[in-house]
Amino acid sequence: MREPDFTILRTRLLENGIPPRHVRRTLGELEDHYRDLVDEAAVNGVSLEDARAQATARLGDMDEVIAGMLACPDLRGWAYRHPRIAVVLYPIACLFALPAMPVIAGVSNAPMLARWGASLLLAGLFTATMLLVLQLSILFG
Amino acid sequence: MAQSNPPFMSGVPELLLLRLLDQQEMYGYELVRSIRKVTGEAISLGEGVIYPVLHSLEKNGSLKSRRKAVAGRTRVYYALTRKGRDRLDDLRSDWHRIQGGITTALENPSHA
Repeated sequence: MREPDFTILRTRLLENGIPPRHVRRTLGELEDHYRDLVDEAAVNGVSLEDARAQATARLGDMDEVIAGMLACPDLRGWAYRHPRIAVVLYPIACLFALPAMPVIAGVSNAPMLARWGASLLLAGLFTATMLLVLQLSILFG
Repeated sequence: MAQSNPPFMSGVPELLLLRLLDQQEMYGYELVRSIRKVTGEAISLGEGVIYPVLHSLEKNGSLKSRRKAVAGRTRVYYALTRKGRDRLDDLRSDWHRIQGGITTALENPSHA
């Protein structure tokens, strides 16, 4: 038997509005639980392959875990619980966030922007020097 | 084949989890092992389903959790709150009432 498909679990929980932080926690707990089950079977002398199969079977159907999570509205993000409020608030928040985006992008990419600025400055100085040399050679040539 | 849970099990994991956590804090795997032990393996859950129940109980304030590093792994330990204790009392009395009713019905079907 295959190992539990935690990737599909992750995708489906995120798609259905479970906040990423909560999804990470759930996956962490399930993966730990799975490892504990494999260890338990291995301690009892079961081969690794069989231990994994037994652990997958005991962990159960991931669809039930998903259904359990989705059955509890409190576990979903607030935008999923209050979609009408989200529809009104998100555009307003975006309106305020939009002018700040270039500043945020600049701050978060400061080292790259500094390198780019320095390169541009050097290129400008080089071009100016070349033009000056050309101009002087015309004047005194 | 992966284990699934019969429909009549609805509410049972919650009651068992609250009862076990009333005694001491535990993490998921430990809780499932305790359920198997205290029920004499009569109740065998698809073990993953306890996490939605635990998270939902935590969200409604019946449980609180904390992370604890044990043997190189970070465990999430759950403990009962005062609200959880009240919830356990309610569920316990509901359970006794239902159990009594079903026992009566099974023993005296003509009265059912």
